[in-house]
Amino acid sequence: MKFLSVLKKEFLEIINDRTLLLVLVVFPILVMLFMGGSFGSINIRGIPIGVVGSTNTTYASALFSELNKSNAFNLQTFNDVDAAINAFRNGQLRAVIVVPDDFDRQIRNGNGSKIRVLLDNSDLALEKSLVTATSSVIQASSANITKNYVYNAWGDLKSLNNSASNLAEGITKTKWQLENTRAGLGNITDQSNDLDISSLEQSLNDATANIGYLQNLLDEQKTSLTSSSKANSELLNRSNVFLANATAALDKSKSTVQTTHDKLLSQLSDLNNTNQQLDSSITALTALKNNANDSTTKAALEANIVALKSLKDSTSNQVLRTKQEISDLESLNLTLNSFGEELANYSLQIKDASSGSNGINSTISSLEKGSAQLAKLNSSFSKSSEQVAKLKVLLADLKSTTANINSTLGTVLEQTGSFENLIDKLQKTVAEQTNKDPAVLAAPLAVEVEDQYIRTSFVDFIMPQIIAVSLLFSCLLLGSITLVREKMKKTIVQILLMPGALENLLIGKIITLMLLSFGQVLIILLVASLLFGVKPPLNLEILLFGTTISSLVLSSIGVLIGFYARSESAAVQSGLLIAIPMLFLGNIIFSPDLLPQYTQILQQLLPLAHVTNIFKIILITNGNPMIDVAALLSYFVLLVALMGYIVIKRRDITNYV
Amino acid sequence: MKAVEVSELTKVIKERIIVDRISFSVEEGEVFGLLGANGSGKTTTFNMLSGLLAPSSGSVTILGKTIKEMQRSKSDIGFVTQEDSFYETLTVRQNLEFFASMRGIGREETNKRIKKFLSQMRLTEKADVLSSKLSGGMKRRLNMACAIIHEPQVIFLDEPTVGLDPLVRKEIWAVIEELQTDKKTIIITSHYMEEVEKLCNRVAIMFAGRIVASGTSKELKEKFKLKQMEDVFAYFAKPVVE
Repeated sequence: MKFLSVLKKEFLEIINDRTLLLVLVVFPILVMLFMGGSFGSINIRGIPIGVVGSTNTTYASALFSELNKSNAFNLQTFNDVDAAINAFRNGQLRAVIVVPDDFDRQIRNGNGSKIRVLLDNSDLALEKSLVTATSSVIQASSANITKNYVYNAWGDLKSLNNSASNLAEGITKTKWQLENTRAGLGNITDQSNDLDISSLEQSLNDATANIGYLQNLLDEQKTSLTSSSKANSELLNRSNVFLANATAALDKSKSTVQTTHDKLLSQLSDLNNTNQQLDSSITALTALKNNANDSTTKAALEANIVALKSLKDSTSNQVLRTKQEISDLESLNLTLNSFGEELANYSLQIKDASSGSNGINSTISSLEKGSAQLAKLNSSFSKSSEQVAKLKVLLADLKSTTANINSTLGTVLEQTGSFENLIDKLQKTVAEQTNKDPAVLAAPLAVEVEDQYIRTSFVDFIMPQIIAVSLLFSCLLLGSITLVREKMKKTIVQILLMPGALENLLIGKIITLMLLSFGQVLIILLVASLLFGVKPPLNLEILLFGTTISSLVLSSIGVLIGFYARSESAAVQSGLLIAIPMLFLGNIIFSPDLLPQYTQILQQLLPLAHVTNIFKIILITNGNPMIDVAALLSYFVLLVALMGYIVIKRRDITNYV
Repeated sequence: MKAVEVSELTKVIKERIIVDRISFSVEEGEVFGLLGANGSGKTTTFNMLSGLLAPSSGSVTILGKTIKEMQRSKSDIGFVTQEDSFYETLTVRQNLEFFASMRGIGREETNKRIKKFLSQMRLTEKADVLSSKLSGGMKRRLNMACAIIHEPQVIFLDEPTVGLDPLVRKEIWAVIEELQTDKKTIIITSHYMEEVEKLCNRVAIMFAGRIVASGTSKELKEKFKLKQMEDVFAYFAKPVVE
């Protein structure tokens, strides 16, 4: 059970050693804070990204807007690629997104566009997160562009569809007009049927028969009158009056028949023209139908063709009937002419008979019979007039129908022209859209990731960290220990006794550590080159300068620790308390861009982060490390001032032994 | 001129008087012993005399220079610490070269002095041996050589032979005697009365931060009617009980 005594002793030693106690308590808290903070968040935030390209065009500004909205990035815009790459190589940016100048034009044309992402691939952990984040934002933009493109295409098609709908409405109206026209022609047919030309013919036949009978009576009268005397002169005078009236009536009838004949001729001509026009329309529509690609269009045209053919048939029938009527009227005209001649002859005979007086009674009886016959003739002629009036109405309807047909044909022609334009537009639109690559339309934006730094082995990108850690331990920890050893060995007493020796001791120690650092860096670079093929840095002066300032700062911190530490173990513990946060936040273990924001701020206050950045710029990015060098110089000035204060104010031996 | 002159020297640390208005002087070429029990204030007095510790009050002059003047030059005193204060990872010669260069001694002069001290400290054969490999006596001699490589006029020896066997002690005494013949002013602290009686011209005994007796060994023995210096020491140098 003696080990329990040892246990007790160990704990007492720890409790009595305040520095060790502090380390034991603070260290796990620090580890928890930093590791928890490092792994607590999986999302990158505020990564500095440079963007190059025109930002005032539609699609480019939409892309920039998406990038800006993302919390992962802290965007900085640049006017040209060189300025952006310069900032990138100086460590101010982790990536540069280059949007080509013709970005908008290519997107609008449906050709897609390639976006270059110049990536800092030296930080392996950050690289993947960056690629994922930038790709997801760019792909989201790509989806938006595709969506807009489809909307615009739909808009075009909808517009075409509206045009087709309007045209279809027009065609429907035209069909309605054609049907109306057909109905009009039907009415004309009905009216033609009502016209009862047979009745007219019959009336005229009756008139002809009556006129023959009258001729016989008049012949008898002529015979009777020849033998009659002057006493019947009044009767002869009445006969003259009657003859005059009959002649006038006959003239009027002949005039009416002539007029009707002329009108029918004209109507016939119109109907013939209508037929010809209908033929032409049918031919044109048939051609359109044959050229149409759309089935809807074909059906509409076919319907129109059928309607027009039906109309033509009706018109042809009407032509035949009209010809027949003209023929009948011509016959009637001949008959009336013949009757006129007979009346004229009778008048002459009456004149002759006026000088005789024999057979007046028979003449009167004959004349009364003649009058009766003539009354019947008048009745026949009245009926004919009624028919002629109906014929007039028919002619008017025919005119109206013809005008409607003309108008309808005009509309059909117009719509045919619109059809042609619509089909032309449709074909152009289809050609335009189908000529584009669907794969490009679906994903118009392509991402081209360009790793900026060449890597021959894994070691390439961890060289800065290796050197920084090496300098940390050699300069900081060793620096603290060597000064403590002076105190432990009491050589510090001799140093304090010598004027200026303390200052020279510090300077000597720091410069020694600096020179050792050169050796360390050289060894690291040599081993990396020989074993892993890592290329040596291009700029040796900057490497030398970077190593100098880094080692000066870290050594100074170590020496300051050594001033206050009472033992080597205390020096090591104090050194660890300072070194461990720097290891976590100094871009050694974790990428600073993947840490929470508050740690990123803390990181800027730690010298090791700047040391790592300097070597990263020297060994990998080949940029300008002056910002980090300036930060370290500031640190060094501060540390020198602090050491100067200590040297001046803490010269008593009690501070050191 | 007195080599060392101390007047009303006082040191107070955290309201505790460590050294309480002590005054004494040391002649040039004298070997002066400062005796006292542990905690009597000897080491604090030594540190103040050598300029390693600033006094709270009083004055110290070394060869006519004040402490401040001494701190600027510090070339007139040498302090041989009780523990070895050289670098064990260097050889004897390298240690001597280092301390000589830190004292601003030129290369040629350094080589001469190294030769001289190697001879004087009887370390010639060990010149290129790592200091860690030296025996206890050799280490003590090396310690002394490093402390006085600049040939100071006043040398402070803090318990120079503590922990050494009698043979080695005698070697150290021989060195001290040689220094004495070089007319160096030496101030020694020691617990060894034989050493004090052998080496010191005069002694001062400290108790609770004060000098309670001073004089030659013979005078002190006669004064307090004691036969041995141990008795005189025991009479005054009671351990300080806190």
